[in-house]
Amino acid sequence: MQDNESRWLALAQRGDPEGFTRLVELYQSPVYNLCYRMLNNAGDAEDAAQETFLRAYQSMKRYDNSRPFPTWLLSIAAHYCIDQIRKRRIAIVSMEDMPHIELADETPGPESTVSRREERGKVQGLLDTLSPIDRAAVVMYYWYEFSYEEIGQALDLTLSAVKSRLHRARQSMAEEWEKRNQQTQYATRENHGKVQSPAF
Amino acid sequence: MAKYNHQPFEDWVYSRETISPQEELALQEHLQECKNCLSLVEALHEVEVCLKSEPVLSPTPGFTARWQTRLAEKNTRRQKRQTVNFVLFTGVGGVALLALLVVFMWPIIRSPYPFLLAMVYEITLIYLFLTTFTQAGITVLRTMFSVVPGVVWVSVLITMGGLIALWLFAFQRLVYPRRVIV
Repeated sequence: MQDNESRWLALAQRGDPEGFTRLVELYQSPVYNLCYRMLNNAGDAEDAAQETFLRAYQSMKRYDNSRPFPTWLLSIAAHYCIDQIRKRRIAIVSMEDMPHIELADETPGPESTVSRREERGKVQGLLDTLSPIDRAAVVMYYWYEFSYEEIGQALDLTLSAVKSRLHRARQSMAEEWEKRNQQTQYATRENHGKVQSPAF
Repeated sequence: MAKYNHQPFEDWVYSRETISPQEELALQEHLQECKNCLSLVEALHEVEVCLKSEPVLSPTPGFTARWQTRLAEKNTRRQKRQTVNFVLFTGVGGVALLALLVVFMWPIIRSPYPFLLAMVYEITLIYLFLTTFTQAGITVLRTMFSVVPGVVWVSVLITMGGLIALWLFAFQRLVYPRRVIV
């Protein structure tokens, strides 16, 4: 795979569209996933992923071979998504309003689908509380297992800035999670009380 | 609760970096006593489990084909834009040049006769000069042909031809160097 990637990369750098098309096939999921986690919308994510590959294709001659290609590609995607978030000022979508998108690798039953959607809703809800750059850092760290250096390279941040942003993001997500858990418990107690009330 | 300083413990928890055994012990002791920090640690753990269990999402099938279509559309748009820019630039440039020409030629356009007379005079002068120059050249060549023998002319022509061929060959090698395949 690594050999193929190098060959396609070399072809793409010489301006061969076929070589770049192979790279699109290879990296479409990581790029799309990052865009989806950043933008929280399937349509916008598709658009951003397409735009990322177009920008990468146009900048292939400027690509520095000493840098890992996925880092470079995801860096373009992250910067594009950050710009989009800033431009559109996307409102935080509540968990109930989460759009449903199909997973290519799963064929779940109804219960599993609901549970999966809830899980994804929770995750997206947490990510939405973060600033765009913190969100990109979290996605790169937890989904792609990028090192702090790689995240710094991709987002044009210093090592200490990456650490500080991840620290802040973890704290924010943990606090948000706890807050939501408390709200859920409170709502459950309320419902329980309402069910009981006719008996009194 | 207020008597605890939570900051170092929170830093250790959220930085996710390796801490010393002493620090680990201090953290565990703190967590046993501080419910607030304990619940945050548990929340962070649940968040991380949730994040790591989320799959990498894939786009709907046909992503690459859609990308190729988009690339083709973008290229078409770019070509159209370039054509429009070229036409605009040429048109505006042409009109500007024409306007400039009209401004400079305006005295001539208004009264063209003195200009036409001057032109006829200049053309006649050039014609006379060329005729004289040609006559002189023909005379020189005739004299040279009668003085220099034919063998010398032939050898000069061959030498010149060889030099031109050599120059052409060198130029070709310079422009199209042989490719070295590594």
